Amino acid sequence: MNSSAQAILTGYDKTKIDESVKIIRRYSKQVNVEINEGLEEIKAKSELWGCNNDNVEQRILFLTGTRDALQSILDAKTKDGIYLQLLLK
Amino acid sequence: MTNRHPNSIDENYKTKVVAARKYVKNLIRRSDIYAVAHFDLTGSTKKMIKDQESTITEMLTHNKICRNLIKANGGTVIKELGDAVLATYPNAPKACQSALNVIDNFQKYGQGIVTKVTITAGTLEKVKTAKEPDVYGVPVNLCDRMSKHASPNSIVIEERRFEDIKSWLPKDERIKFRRAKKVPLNDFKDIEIRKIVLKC
Repeated sequence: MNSSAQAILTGYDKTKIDESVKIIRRYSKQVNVEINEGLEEIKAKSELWGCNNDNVEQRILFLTGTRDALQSILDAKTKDGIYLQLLLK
Repeated sequence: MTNRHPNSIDENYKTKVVAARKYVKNLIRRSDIYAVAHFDLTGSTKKMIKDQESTITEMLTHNKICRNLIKANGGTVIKELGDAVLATYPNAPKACQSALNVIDNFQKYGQGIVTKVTITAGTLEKVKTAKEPDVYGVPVNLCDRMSKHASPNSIVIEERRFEDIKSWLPKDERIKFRRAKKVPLNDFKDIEIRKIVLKC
């Protein structure tokens, strides 16, 4: 049975976030996770500690797949310093 | 040559102070976001008072075991803080999974060495002051404050980060959650924390 999750990438370097998104897109194909609603840029205020919200960048991906497949997204080697939150819906 | 009294405290070191400010101004600093884990040897102060030499051996062993296991679990060791090790991970679930693995291995092979872990996340500023970059930031200070509420074989995590990890914890009946509770953490005021215990 498939589940849905949001992957939120947060960081200070937009290029590194974009590269991390590409890495997750590639990795998703390998583990049978579908990125079903494209990609959004969000301007939410990050609640992570010490975040300078004037400079912080965030992007969000909507994912669908089995729970195990979704969990394996956490193993994707995203760029150093880009924080990944994976929230099961 | 000045005739300064040996106990004088009014020697003027303005140039040294100015040089220090200039040094700090020129440091290369970079902000990034990580999950931060603080692995702390349980009861080291009490043990140290009783037997300093063997406790220092225990501290060194604790830190080296943590280093080896953190690296094997996808973390990066940042520094040792006496009886504790500070590490970063790309996300909180990985930090938690690694911490549970470290606790489990101490239970199996630690020969009485017990660790306790604190996890948080946020911006760290990496600053290269020596050969290796050091890190500074709110999450480091928060980990230090939260570690006072940690107990042996357990992880203390902010409730907000627990929300990030709860769906992805390993399925193991030895993992038990305590109720979330608000605790006073000095300058941080009240923070809601959650304890995750790995039963022996």
